[in-house]
Amino acid sequence: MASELDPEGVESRTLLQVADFNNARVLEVGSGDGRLAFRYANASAYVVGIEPQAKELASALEACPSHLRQHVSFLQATALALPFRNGSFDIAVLAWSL
Amino acid sequence: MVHALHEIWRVLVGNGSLVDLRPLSCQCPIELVTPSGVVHVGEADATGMAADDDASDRAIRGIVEQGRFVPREDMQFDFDFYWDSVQELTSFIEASTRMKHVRPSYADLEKVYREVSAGGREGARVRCRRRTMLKAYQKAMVWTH
Repeated sequence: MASELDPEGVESRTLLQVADFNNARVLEVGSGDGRLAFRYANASAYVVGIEPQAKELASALEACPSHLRQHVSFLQATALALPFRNGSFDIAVLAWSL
Repeated sequence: MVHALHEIWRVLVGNGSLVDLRPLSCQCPIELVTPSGVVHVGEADATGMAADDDASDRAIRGIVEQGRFVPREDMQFDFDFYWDSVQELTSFIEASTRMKHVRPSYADLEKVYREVSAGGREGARVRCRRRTMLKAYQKAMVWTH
């Protein structure tokens, strides 16, 4: 692992430019260790990260800051069968996952 | 992949946004960053998943052609990785599926790293800049008869 990733936060700043995350319900596909979700979650109503790899999922659950736990959750799932109703999200982010 | 995009379309609200964020398959500059400046020392070949990237692009194009999503934004930016040593960079690249090898060799990178550090620029860090794309699409309603 790199000792530091995107310390200037260019990725999350660019992401926040292209969609209105304010109070949005966000699905992040391929949320990995939660690194990206943690950076924009504050702006959103809530974030659901799905990740097929159990190890990554465990890292995300462990790393989730306490102040974000109210509106960030992670599930083990893939985008091939999303366990959500139609029209559940305002934004879907494919995070290095397509 | 196409099925996954259909699923995402289903769970989005009307006019919802899809954001496709991923690194590009390309040569990425490797630099030494010191308090006094940045020294370009080589490149990392990040084309290890070029075929997958092509498949992803085709899948997105297909779903746009079906009228399910409308392209809205197309941007690129540099995503920076930092390491404290050439050894850390080496470990990262050897474990990576996207990055395959570096130019010059790790041994040569290590030599330059030592030279830069010996030149009084302690605290040199190794940086690799990944060109990353961000494309945004808006969900369009599909009418079936």
